[in-house]
Amino acid sequence: MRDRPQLPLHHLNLLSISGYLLLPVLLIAALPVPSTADIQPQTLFNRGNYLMEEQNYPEALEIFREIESHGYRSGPLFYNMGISYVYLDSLGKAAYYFCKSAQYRETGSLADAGLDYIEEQKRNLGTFIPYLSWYAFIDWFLFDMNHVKWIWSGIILLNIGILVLIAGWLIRPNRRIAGSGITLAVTGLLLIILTLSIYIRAGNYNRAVIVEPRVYLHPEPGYTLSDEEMNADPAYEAYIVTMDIKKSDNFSEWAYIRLRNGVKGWVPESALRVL
Amino acid sequence: MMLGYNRKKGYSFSAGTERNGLLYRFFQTLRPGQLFTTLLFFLILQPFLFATTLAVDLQVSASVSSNNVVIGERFTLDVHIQSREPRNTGRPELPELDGMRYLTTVPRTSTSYSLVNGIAQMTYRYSYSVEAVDTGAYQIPPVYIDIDGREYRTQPVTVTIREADSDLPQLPAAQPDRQAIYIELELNEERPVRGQQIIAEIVLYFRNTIDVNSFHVTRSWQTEGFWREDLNESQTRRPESVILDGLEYRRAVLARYALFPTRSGELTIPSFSIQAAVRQSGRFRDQYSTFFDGFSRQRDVNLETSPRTLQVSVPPPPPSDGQYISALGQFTVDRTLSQERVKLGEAVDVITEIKGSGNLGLISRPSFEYPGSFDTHRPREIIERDQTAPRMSGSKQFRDVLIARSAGTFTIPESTIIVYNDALRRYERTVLPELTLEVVRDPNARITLAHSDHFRLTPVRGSVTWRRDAQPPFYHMWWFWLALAVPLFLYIMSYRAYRYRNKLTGDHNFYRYEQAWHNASRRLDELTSLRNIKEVYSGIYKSVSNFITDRMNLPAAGHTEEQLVEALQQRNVEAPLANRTLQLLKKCATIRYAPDPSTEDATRDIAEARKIISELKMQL
Repeated sequence: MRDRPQLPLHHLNLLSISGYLLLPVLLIAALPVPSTADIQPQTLFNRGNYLMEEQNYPEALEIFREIESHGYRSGPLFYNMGISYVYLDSLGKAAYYFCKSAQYRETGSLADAGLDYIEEQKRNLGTFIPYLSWYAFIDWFLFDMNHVKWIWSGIILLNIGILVLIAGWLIRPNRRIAGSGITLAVTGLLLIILTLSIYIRAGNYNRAVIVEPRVYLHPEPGYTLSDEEMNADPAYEAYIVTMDIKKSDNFSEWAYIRLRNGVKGWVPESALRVL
Repeated sequence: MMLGYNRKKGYSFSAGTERNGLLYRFFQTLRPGQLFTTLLFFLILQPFLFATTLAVDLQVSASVSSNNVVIGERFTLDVHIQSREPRNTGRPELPELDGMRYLTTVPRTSTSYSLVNGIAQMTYRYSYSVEAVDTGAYQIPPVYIDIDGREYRTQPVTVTIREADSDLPQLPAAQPDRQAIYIELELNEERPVRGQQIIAEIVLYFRNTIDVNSFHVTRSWQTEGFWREDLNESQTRRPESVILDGLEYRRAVLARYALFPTRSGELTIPSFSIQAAVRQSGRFRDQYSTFFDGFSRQRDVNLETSPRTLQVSVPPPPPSDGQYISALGQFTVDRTLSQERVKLGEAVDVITEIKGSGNLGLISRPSFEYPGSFDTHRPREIIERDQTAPRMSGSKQFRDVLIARSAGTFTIPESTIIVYNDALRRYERTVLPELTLEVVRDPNARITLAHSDHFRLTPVRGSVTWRRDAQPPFYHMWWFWLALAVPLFLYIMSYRAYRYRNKLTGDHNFYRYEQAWHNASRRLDELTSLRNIKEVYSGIYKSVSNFITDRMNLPAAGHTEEQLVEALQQRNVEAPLANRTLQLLKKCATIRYAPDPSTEDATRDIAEARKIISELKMQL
């Protein structure tokens, strides 16, 4: 019986070395290749800004919308879109983009100034409605309170409380220290539970902006309004409203909204831009 | 503007695109009754008006290769047609010549296309060879040419014909050992100030016996310390005849540059070198001839200018009663508004135009005070250079874009601009008068772009941080669950520790049970240091019996060995272990009566005691 030919040791090493060399190549090849249809958002953004300076707002918006359609987002992008819509005399869309821009730290204050400016315009147009304090309070909980930050605060409080409790029980046994720890931990836990409840509740609501010059609030979706009802509660462009997602989901083309003066009703979904 | 002439219809003119705007306004003012008569009038005039449009884009001219020639010299007569679009051109009608004769009446033709400042330009050229026959000053009469069915003519051209070696322009004899062909760097300014324009010409001198067929630059010209502008697109001068050291030479400008010294002190302009393909028409040999030239008289020669050193001085400090914009040269400054009446929110440009010759590219933007109710956008700079000018000249515009934020009449205050005139070597002031701008409200706009101290309608520019993927909700993050799990785990563990600690201190039996192993082990450890064997066995007995009573919660004393083992059996301790325990305890109890127990036995029994305690710990 003949022995099977053996590869010399150095040959084996070479094979394994080439394998090691090939491995990174294969790994690199397996990495996702950027799509050729991808865009350079900064280049387009600069181009859009240039067109804004040229007073060519429609084309600037085309470019900004292209950036947005590729999934890129930034505060300055939304802010500049808001400015462009101001120049194009479209308060609703301007308000919509200022609201979006306000969610970014770098443009938060600028966008707030833009929204104040739109409020000022609404006063000039006679479409301003007051923000009732109760609804302002509710809306703060639903949209403005920054749930994650509050949950973080609760978690930190809970952890500090537990550490203090351990100290009071085991390190330096003392009822007072342990009691303080329990108080802190319970407060943190309550804060977490409360914020989570609000967060879950807020998931049923969305902020939206009216983008049509005037839209009537219907008592039922598809309900035909009489002349009297038409004059009752119109919602004007650039109104920032609260939309009930749960209710609205039952009707495909209608949305149930609440104005900030507490008036509620149904409006066509096309009249809104959901934030 | 009309540059040609139509023999049948005479001179014509045009008002350009402005005419359409004027006509429109004119028609707007007419009553319906007057309109018909006016339209009829314009229909009659229409062909004439159309002709003017044709002429606007067309230029016909004639030129000669040299205006100063000697008898027998041949020169070229060129007829140029410049147009913005292709034309149907006929062959030029050549006029009769006095003192000259055509060598051939069949022209050499060429067509070229160029794009200058975004404007397309086509040039048709017809070239004729002419020979000078008689001395005197003669005029080549206008050449007529048919273009798109219309006839145009050129301006007459004057040519002076003289005897050979007569009164030629005499240049100063700079080189005593002057060669048959050489190049020189000629500057228009020897002692410039920093930033002043110097025209540098690379000039080729060659004897009449030499023909220069072509040349190319052999080394890039590095003018360190100078900002350089190429003026080679300017109209190049034709070769001209000059007398140098009593010899007739031809002089041709090969290249022209504008140099601007960027620092003061001693600056050197390096040599400029070319390689020229020359042809010797005489029979003699010169210093460029070699043995291998053979019968062909064409050869390449390398030519180089000498380096030049200039002393660049600092311009005097500018006066403080105006705004110095780093302009050196001969400039005029003007400031205008793109429109004097704008709607609220509309943009208006404040245009500052600096026109003239000098360091156009280095002029800085003047700054003006604008009323606070205007948003200012990024200013724009536009340089329009006159490509055909022999100097760096043209205009530079600065456009400040303003957007009105409130209605009213606003004034941009007067301003003084200071320019250094390099010809007069002094500063000149230009007072820009104040500008008045009226801002009106747009009645149709729903949004009033009114003045607001808190909000400026200015876009955010610059580099932006882009986000692409949507932020997942916090409960999808691992850290959220970890941050909740850690305190829960800590709480459970610490609570257990707390309970154990409380039981130890509050429950004596539990304390005995928990401490039994520790106490027994400690006691057995202490026995190893004892010398008295009987005390050792007494200690072993105590350790084992106390361990059993502590673990089984029995009274600490008063038990016989059998009672202890019985208690163990009641707790289902394995029989072999119980027997071993009994044997050890009995041995310990009886050893005191033994005559002389050995140390080895004691050590072995201590080990056995440890083993028994360990095994009992598992079962109790």
